[in-house]
This record gives sequence, structure tokens and C-alpha cells, in this order.
Amino acid sequence: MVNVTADQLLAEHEAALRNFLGARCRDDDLTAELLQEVAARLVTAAPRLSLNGNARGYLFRIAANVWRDQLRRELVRRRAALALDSGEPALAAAADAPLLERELRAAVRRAVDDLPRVQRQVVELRQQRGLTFQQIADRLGRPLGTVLTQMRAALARISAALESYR
Amino acid sequence: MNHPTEDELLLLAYAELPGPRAAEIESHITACRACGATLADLEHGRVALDVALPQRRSASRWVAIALAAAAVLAGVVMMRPGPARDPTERWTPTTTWSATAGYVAGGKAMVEIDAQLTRLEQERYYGLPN
Repeated sequence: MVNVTADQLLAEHEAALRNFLGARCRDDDLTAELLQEVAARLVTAAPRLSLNGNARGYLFRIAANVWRDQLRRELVRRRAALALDSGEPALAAAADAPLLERELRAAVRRAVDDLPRVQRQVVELRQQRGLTFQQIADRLGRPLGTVLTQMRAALARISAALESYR
Repeated sequence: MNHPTEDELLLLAYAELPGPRAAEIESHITACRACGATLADLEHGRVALDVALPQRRSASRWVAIALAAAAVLAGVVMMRPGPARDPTERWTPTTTWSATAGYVAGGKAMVEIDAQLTRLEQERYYGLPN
């Protein structure tokens, strides 16, 4: 078991983290901001951090979570901007995250309900049961490639349904 | 390197790609804007689903939670103090002093038992060899 400091970890992996985040958001300023968030979370966790040779994996898990949180905020923010543009008084006035998140949840659920059954099965097993795609393929008796194609098709349909959120 | 397949990008978005291949693709998307954009689309979809359909707790976790709750409840019941006594209630002694037997508890039968015990004690004491 090795005790590590946040500074050491960040110094060692900063370039790789920058690439990881930069490749996704394609925005230098946002990348720097997200990197700061990774550092802040790492510093918060550092006092109780004791890694067993998996420091890199841990750091990238933080970075992935930071990126997902950013995407989530982005979805909600875009919905707020749309509400302001279209002059929806209730939403524009409130424009608060909980309300917009509730609306987003409802929209995604509607989109999932509208999926073809074969795609909905895959989505539900992945999202709600937490099965891997291989486990889903085994359970449903479908080839892994078929399951992956069905999941991609489902994500594409959901994205199209949420176009106003993006 | 060649572009990763869309299936590989999906597996990467869900962190299900084996480490070495994931590292290769991460390296690739740093330079390849098209693959980066496809990955970002998949991750957007994943995040939207995470918001709307959070993972359910498995049945075994619910059983563990139920057992823990039952243990806590049992502890609370066992530690709970009994009914409060009426502070005005007076204590009625079950023994009374007797000049002959020392004390009397519960009537004649107890007097006899007490007398026998006293006698046995005396016999034992005086009967011991020096």
C-alpha cells in the first residue's frame, strides 16, 4: 500500500488527463477548467487516499466523472437557454436545475418508452440492472455485436428525441 | 492506427473496453476529431440515460438492508427501558423481624426452613473436627 500526494499524482499524469478531457470537449479553456475540477476532487480525497498501484486508473475515473457531470450540466443548461429563447414563462422564470432536470428525466423516459422492444430491453438491462454488454448478450441469447448495434441505435434515437436539449 | 469501430467507441463510453485497447483508442481520439465527436455523442446519450434511469439496487442489497434494519430495530427494542414505576408506589417488605427466627418471610413454612438452616449451620460449625 502506497500513500500518495495529490501533487505527485497530478504532476505525473497531467498531460494524459489533459488529452483525455481535451479529446472530448475540444475546448482549451473548458479542458483547463475540468482539469482544475479533477485536481480539486483529488485534493479532497487525498487525506484518505491509499492506492495500491492503481493511481492512474483512479485519476481517470475522477476525470470521467468530471466529464459526465459537465455533460449533465450542459444538457440542463441548454434546456434553460431554449426555455428563455422560446419564452416559456414557467421554465424561463424558474430556470432552476431541479425543475429542468425533472423535465429532462421525463423526456428521456418518454424516449426510452418509444424505443423498439429489442432496443429497450438492452437499454434497461444496461442502465437499470448494471449488466455489461456481454452479460446482456448472454442473457438475451443475442450476439454481442447485435446488442452493441441495438444500444447504439437506441442512443441515437434518444439523442434525436432530446435534440432540443443539446 | 486505424479508426476504432463504433462498437469499440460504445464500449469505451461505457468503460467496458479492455485496458490496452482503451489506451490505444484514447490516444487516437486525441488526434482524430471525427472519432472524438462520435465518442462525445455516445457519452451524451449515456449521461442522459444515467439521469433518467439510475441503476436499481439488486435484490441481495435490499435483503442486506432489510436485515440491517431488523438488527437495529431489535437493538432498540432490547435497550428500551421498561414501564416507568409510579414514584408514589410504596415498597411493601416481604420480611418481618422475628425475635426467635431472626426474620420471617412468607409465614410459618419459611420460619421452619429458616430454623432448619440455622440448626444445620450450627451443627456443621460445631461438628467440625478441631
